[in-house]
Amino acid sequence: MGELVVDKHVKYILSVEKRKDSFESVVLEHLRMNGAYWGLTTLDLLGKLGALDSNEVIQWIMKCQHESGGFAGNIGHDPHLLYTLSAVQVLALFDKLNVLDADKVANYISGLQNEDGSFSGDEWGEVDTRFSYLAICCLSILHRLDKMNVEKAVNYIASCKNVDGGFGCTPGGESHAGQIFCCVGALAITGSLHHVDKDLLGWWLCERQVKSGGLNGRPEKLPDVCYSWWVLSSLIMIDRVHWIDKDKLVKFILNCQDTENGGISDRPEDAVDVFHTYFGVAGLSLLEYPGLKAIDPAHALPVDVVNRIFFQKYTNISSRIHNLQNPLPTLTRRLFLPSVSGIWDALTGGNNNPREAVMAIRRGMLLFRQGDVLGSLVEFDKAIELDTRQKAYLWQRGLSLYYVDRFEEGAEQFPNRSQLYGVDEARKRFLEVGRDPRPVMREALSMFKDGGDPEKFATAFSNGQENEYFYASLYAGLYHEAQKEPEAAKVQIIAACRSPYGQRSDDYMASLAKVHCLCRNWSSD
Amino acid sequence: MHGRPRKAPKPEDLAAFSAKAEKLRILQSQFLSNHHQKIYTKEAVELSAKLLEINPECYTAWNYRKLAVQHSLFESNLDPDAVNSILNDELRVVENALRQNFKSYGAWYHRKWVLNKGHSSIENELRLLDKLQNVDPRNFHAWNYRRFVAALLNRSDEDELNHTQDLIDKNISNYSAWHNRSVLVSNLMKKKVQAFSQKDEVLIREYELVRDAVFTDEDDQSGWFYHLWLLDQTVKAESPLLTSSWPAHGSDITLSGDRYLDLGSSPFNTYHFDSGSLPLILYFNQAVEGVNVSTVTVSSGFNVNKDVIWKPILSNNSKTAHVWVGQLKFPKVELDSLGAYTLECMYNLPKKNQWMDLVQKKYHGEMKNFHIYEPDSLESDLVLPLDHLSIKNEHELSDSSWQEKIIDEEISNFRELLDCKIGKLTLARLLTARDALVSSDKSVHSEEVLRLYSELMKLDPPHSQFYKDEHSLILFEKVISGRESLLSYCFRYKNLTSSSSSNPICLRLNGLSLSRLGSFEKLLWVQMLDLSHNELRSIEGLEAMQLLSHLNLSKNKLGSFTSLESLRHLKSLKVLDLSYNEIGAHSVDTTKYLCSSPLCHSIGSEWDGSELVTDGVSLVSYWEAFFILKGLKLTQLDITGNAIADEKFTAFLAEVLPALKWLDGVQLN
Repeated sequence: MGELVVDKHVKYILSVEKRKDSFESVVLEHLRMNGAYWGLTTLDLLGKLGALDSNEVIQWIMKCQHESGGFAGNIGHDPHLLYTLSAVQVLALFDKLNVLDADKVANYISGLQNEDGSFSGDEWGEVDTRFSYLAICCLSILHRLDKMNVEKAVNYIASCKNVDGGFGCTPGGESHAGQIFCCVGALAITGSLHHVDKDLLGWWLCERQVKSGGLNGRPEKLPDVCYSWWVLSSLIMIDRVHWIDKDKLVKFILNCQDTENGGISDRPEDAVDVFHTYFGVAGLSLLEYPGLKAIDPAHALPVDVVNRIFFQKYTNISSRIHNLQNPLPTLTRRLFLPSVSGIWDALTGGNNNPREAVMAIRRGMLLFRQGDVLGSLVEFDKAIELDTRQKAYLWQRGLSLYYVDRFEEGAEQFPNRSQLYGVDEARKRFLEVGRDPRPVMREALSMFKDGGDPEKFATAFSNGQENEYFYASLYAGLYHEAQKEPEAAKVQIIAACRSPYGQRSDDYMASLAKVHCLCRNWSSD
Repeated sequence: MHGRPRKAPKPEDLAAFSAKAEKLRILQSQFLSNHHQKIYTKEAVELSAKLLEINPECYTAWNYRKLAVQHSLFESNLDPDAVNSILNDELRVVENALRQNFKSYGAWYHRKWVLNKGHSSIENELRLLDKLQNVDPRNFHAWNYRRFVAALLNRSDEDELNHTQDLIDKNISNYSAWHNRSVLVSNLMKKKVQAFSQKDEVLIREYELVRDAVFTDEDDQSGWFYHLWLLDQTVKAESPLLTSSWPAHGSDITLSGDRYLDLGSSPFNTYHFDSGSLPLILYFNQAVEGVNVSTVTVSSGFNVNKDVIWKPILSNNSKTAHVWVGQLKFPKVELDSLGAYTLECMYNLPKKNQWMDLVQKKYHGEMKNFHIYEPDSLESDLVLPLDHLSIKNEHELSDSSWQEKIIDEEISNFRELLDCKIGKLTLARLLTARDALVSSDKSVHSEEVLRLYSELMKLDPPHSQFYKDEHSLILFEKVISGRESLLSYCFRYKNLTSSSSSNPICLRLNGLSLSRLGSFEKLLWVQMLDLSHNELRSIEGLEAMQLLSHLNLSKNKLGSFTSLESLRHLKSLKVLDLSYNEIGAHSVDTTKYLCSSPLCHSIGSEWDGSELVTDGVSLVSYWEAFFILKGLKLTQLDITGNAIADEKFTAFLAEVLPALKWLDGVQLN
């Protein structure tokens, strides 16, 4: 059996590209995009992605994109979800998702969703739960899941569940490990694994292990290395992977290596190919084989790539929000972001300034909470000096400026534009931001945008949860103030301060309410 | 490449391959050029057919042919003969392609697409399928196609069932046929078609059939899953049941001045609370939705019903939950000044409710008073009503005798098949199901079931952990079910506070080599739980134990913080011991997608900046810990002995948990 012959596999993968004239590579020419994903992900798992010129790959990928936004399997072919996900995954491997017009790709994908929630693979209408997975995984990577109807998509997948716990390609279709991976993966990414009967499916999946240690894809079938991925990742996602014998499976995969020329085959002594090389290596990664990068069982990308995607998400949202100049200082994610921008420098060995800037911000926030608005400004300014990027995110500084009446500057930083321009003008300048999940925030947003009765608004939430009551009062007050109605503003903001949430919460906005009273010389006690 | 031997090609083959490759390459580039220029001449269309015959997977060529068909249908002015000839051509190309590759998705879909154009010769399809299924009776695509054709032809489910029967008769090891049978039988039972209106009769017939399969070749898996499905159909409750609640229905509650709740002077139900409300817990046997003041009525000494807001204990993005918690608020009177309150807790669920039928099959009976045996305590005469003494309801169980009869029959059959794993496993499952049907607190067969699972672990080592988990579930239930058994695991800490009589009981289920937990409905009353020295990898389901304040999970096999998702729902938890587990020791996290996190786009998974208490670097490296622990008000935590627990991590914990007083036995400032 021996060990994983890493160098031989790397050599094999790199050589496949060079053998373009073989019959196999001509036959497979139309799915070169999948091949790129299999080969490159394998290289990354083996820690050898650097062996390749990424620019060349990326240029080729972009040549496969159609006007519709979808990607083809190769230049000149038609677009299809199968290749769109692979293209996006490869770009993610290289940290180059920014070369994409994500909305365009997302529109292509969401355009393929059918009325019943299912997905077609392309414009010709073939329906299959494989396509549901491709769409969901791809939109997740692009942070565009909101472009599709997730609930319907999940319900469609659930309708393909069988009495053996597995899933088929359409309702009534037989369970198959590959199909199960797609359905379980899609349910995992959408937080819907409660639709899976984990014990029943776990038993079905663990019985895929045959005597040789390998896994098959359906009962009474031969084992095949590719199921090391489909079955294993599904077992991992439902926390039942301990139900198989992992050591035996490791041995089976290693036995399928071509130890001479590299590459892995479906079964021992068969001809190797990139597809099985990827599934073998990915399987070993899921089995915690030493020396391999960990792979994420649902997104089918290395864990570090997935983590990068999900943390970058917050950075991206922050810059979008900033560009939109949202006048409501409540999108709490941004509080997290000043620190995030520093994280990457800290992780990638950047200078110390970003970290110190973060410290300064925290000191500034503390001073603000204590009512020292000017002191907080000094700290925020220091942070910007240390790390100029902070200026883009530092809405806390905007709030401080508001209270020292430096509106113009505050607007540049973070405006309550109504103070500056008057309510009507502020409304015109108001731009849509993403939908805030909290009803009170949505209502507040629409009041500031379209106008409304702040008293009615406050009353509407007076019986709501503590934090809703607090926010409703606070924003009603701020709205009154923007309309130059100081007395009404005072009543609402003091009510916010005195509310249980206003008194107890560590929320920055609770501090703000207190600071507001302080600055206006209102007694909130 | 599937199933092709690994060998270096001979030189003469190499030359042949290279010529073949060259020919294919030319075809492909000519085809793409035609496609891009939208050329649909006879020659061009013929060329695509040649290409697909060699390479049926070339999906763009199928797309091209669809365009060509649309083009020529338009040209034909829909003359019926011309249309038929156009579509027949396509069916012929598909047949040739399938001959080359029986598993070509593109080819099969093209055929469906053609038939959806209203081709008249649809009966031919079944004949073609019979031929193909003869060659490969398990072909996935052919089966899908068969269901498609049957629907187009409006074939009845009975006819299709006969077809599956034929295939099963021919070869009992045809899992695909069994699968199709399960779909058809489900449909027929749902529709209550004549021969399928009596559930018990259907099940008896099907048991007989599948028993043949299992007994013919016990290693053949074809019948395994079908049999398990039948068993599930036999015992499955038609509608959800309320299996238990806390406080129990009809219990008398006394609220005393120092904010203790006392149910019939029972230490089991002594509950200390410090807010103005008392939790009420409902546990259902399956996830339900719609628990609210209009569906559940709580009557008590106070007229407080309208104040109860029921909330589901949810994981992920589910809308339904097994466990619902309501908060019973007390009138705003100083409890201290009034001494004791008495309050009677009664739950009433509507009689004809769509989602539930309040039957407490397992524990119905009169209130029994138990004496407690406390190995650790001097007070041994306490009277204890266990919480699951519950409702004697007018909704009596529907007659379960047919179920008992069927299962008894199966049990006696499978006792004949004890020399193989499926025989033992099926028998264990049948006995467990049989015990569940009996309305008593005792599992008659648990010893036998435990023995069967132990034998299975030895018989089938690759799956030993599967049997071990099943074994644990049975063992766990056995340990906490009988009153004597339960009491022998109950302890009381003597010196926890000054007034020892009000100390809650600690349920100590340590060192039982449990790998899995269950039967939570019986443990709703527990406030202190010791599960240390077991083999737990997950604590899924523990969220039902809403009263938990102390939890010891030390020395288990917990591999990550995400496996502790349940903790997020335990708002009363103060003391937690996670020491000596495997947190941080694995590169693969098997519960990552079972918890609410940004990765699975779950409710409550957004970072909430207002709660930000630590620097971003730690947050990124420890996001799992942050998500699980951030909402808890722990005062004591032990984490030592885990791979993750270095100095940096403990510093992070101290920041995330501001209420923490003790960390790994060290007092914090």
